[in-house]
Amino acid sequence: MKHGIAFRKLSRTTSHRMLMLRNLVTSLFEHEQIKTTLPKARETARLAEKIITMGKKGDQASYARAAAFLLKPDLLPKLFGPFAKRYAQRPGGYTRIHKFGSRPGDNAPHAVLELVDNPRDIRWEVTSRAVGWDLLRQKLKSKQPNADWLSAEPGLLRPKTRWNLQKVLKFRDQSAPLLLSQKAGDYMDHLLATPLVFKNIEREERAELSAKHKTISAENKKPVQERDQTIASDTPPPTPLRPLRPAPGQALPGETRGALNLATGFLGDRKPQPRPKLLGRGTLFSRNRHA
Amino acid sequence: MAALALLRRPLFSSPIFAAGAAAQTWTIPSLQSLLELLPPFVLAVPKKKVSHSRKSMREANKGLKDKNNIVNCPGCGAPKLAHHLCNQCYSFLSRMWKQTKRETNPP
Repeated sequence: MKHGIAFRKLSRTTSHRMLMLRNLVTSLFEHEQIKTTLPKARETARLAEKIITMGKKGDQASYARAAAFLLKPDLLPKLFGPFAKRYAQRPGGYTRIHKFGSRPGDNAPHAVLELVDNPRDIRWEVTSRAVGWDLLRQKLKSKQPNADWLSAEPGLLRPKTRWNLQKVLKFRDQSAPLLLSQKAGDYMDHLLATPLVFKNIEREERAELSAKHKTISAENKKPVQERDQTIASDTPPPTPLRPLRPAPGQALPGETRGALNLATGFLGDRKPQPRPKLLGRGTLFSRNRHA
Repeated sequence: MAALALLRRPLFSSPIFAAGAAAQTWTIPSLQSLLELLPPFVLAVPKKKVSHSRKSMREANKGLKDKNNIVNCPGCGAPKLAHHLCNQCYSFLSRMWKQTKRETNPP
């Protein structure tokens, strides 16, 4: 029976398990973001948060305990300095676990364990991208130049994006909103550039293909003796080229339907839905657009 | 089992032992009686080859189940598993971090 026992054994003996977890916590403090299996991540998070609490306390006894636990003494100044400062206002929850599919070798559920507010914070990055996505959707709908998300219009951000935004900005300093809006703006530019890039790639490929056709037909028009058979008998890929379209289930900026609905395509429900304004060549390069 | 069949007669057939053994004859149990001791399902055997259709009917429930926890990534719109990280976003970010690391610490 395992009633009320909150610890995992992780198929190891006590000494092995403890040393492995100490190693994981040490690595987490060193790199601030590690990838491991989900059960190990959950155990490590628990221990790491206790050590960070010791760092926040900062007294002699906590120092001794933390020094006894960690396997690298170089991390003690980091724990009692930057980490204590970073998490001074935060009441617990100093780690975050992102589930990340399965490991290819043994299909183990994988997870990324990171310290909150670290320089490579995943939630921070993805939220900035989500905000950029929402701003772009607003831009496509209303054709207004930079919608200001700081003015907090109700329909601008998706509910979950808004919630994530509040979470990531809560314990950061005053410069954080500006930094995030800069990231969102950069990401918006990146998104706007993508159909342009696709268009250029397609134009170049078509040009290349037509040039190839021209050389082959020119070669075939010559008398048989003068022909270069390697060029003349070459078979280029057939025209017209298939246009670059998004992957199945991929939503373009502006999309309101879900992934399963998109992936099903014409085999799914055929209810007439109001077509949202998507980011594509039409919205960007059509003549009717007034920006 | 063939060896046992041969030993149906008493083991020692000389007259001295026959006199002693006459009071208590000991024979090795027969094949039939041994078979009677075993429960009937041990020797069960299929009567006919299982048809293709019956075999397929049995396999009907063993197919892969569809995943319906697929959502769009809020950042890049790619399909991803619910409550998991988006693969495209994570690979983009990890390449970005490696690039900055290479730039700041040139090997």
